[in-house]
Amino acid sequence: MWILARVSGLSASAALAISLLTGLALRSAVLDWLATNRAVRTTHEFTALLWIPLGALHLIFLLLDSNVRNALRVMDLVVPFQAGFGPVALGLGTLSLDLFVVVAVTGWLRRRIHAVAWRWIHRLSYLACAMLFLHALLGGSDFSSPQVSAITWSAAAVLAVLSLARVAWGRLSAGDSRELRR
Amino acid sequence: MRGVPAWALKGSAVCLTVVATCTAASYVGGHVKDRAAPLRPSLHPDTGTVALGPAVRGTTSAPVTETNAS
Repeated sequence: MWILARVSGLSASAALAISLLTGLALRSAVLDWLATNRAVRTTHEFTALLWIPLGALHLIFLLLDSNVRNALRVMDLVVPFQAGFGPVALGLGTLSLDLFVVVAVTGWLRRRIHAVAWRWIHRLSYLACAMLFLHALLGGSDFSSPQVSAITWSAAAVLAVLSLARVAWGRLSAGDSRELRR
Repeated sequence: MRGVPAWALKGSAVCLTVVATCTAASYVGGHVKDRAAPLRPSLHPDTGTVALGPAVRGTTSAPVTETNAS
C-alpha cells in the first residue's frame, strides 16, 4: 500500500502539473503556438479527470497502509496539522487538498458563481500547488532520489516562472506572442 | 501547428500521465528489489516515532523492513 501510495502521489503530481500548465496557458498564451485557447481550455477542464482520481487513490492507499493507518485518521484528510506524525508535511498536503476541493467544486459550478468571485477562488490553486510541492518536499519518500528530485524541481521551476510571468505581465496578446516567436 | 485539436491535447495529457505513472511505478517498484532502500517511513532511532522526509534517511539506522526481515 505504501508503494502504491507513493506511485499514485507521484503520478497525481504529474497530472496536476499538466493541469496547471494548461491553466496558465489560458492566460499567458504560452501554448498559443500549439493550439487554440478553446482547445487548451477543454484540455484544462479534462485534466481534472486525471489528477482527482489519482489524488483520491493516494489518500485511500495511505489510509489502508498498515504502517500509516495507526497514525493517520480520516479526519486528518480534512483537518490540517492534526496528524500523529509529520504534522507540518501532512498538514500542508491536507490544506492543499481542501483548497483543491474548493477549486474543483467551484469549477464545476462556475456558471452559478459570480465571475469575479470564481476567478479569485480559482487563483487559490496557485497557493494549493505551492503547498502541495512543500508537502512532497517535506514528506515525500522519494525526494532524496536525484531523478525524482530533478524532475520535480524542474517542473516546479517552469510552473513558478510561468506563474510569475502571468502575475507580472498578464495575458500576452496574439500580436505579442507572434512577436516573441520571431 | 497551432491547430492541434482538443482531442489530441487530451490524448497527450493522458499519455503523459500514464508515462509518469509507469515511470513512478518502475522507480518505486525498484525499491522492492533493493533491500537497502526504505519501503516504509523510517522510525526515529531515539523516539521510535515515524519520521518522514529525506532528512531522516541520511542516518545509519536500518530501514524498518530490513529490521523485520532479519
